[in-house]
Amino acid sequence: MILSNTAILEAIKAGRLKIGDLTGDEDPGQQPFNTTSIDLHLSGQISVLKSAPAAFDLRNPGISKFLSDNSDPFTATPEQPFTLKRGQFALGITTEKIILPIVPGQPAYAARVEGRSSIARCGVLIHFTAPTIHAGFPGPITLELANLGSINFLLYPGLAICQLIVEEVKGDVVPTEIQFGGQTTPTGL
Amino acid sequence: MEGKSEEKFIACTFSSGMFEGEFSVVLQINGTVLSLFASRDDLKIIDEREGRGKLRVTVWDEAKGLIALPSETLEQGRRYLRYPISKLLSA
Repeated sequence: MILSNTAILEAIKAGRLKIGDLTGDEDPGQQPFNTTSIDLHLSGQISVLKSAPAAFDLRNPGISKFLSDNSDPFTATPEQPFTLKRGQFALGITTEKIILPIVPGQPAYAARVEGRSSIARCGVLIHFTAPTIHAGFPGPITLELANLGSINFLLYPGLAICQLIVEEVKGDVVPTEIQFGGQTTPTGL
Repeated sequence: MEGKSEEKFIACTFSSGMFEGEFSVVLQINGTVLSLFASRDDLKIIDEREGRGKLRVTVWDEAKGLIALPSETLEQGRRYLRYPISKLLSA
């Protein structure tokens, strides 16, 4: 079930959800709230993958190092925005850190990050394949920015770029574990 | 539950991440290589030049030996793993 703006605030107040600096005392009728979502904002941090003639095997481990070694960071400022060019793909992150705690015996929340219609009409995607924020997630949201439009767009830090939809999870949440060669428990440590 | 337990760490290697203040962290556990992105707060640097450090983890369920990494690994999209609690490192 999707949480309304007032239910989001109640969850924050009860410590069952954290969104940036919100305390739960905010006015649900004002920004950044919508009736059933809350706007999130673009930080100044942008990362652009370099183009390369080689192909990376996605089965290989160490993906974070590969991505880091093959991307260029950019810091957008109010004076120097990031230009998302036509056809370009870049990663951004939200200024807000989201925490969806798992507490035994209490309902858990999951969330989805979605675009905003005004930005969507320009042809700018803020995610295209990984919108789900699982119960237990802590951190800012990574945005998959892509420009399918016919002109370039300037992205400034602080732009209300996407919205977060929070949903209550039905049933108990059990942490899903990393597998080691088909085994749950590592051996030989 | 999360974040209330004693601060524990696991050995890792690290390098700069994709964003400022972010680190690419690589763990090798029982021959399995896992990688993730972590913030500066979750990393204790031992040797910056060699990229050796300790990653902050949360003991999720001590009886089961279940710990939580600070973020999901890119290889498996999960952040919980079983690890001998007695072998976790202190600050």
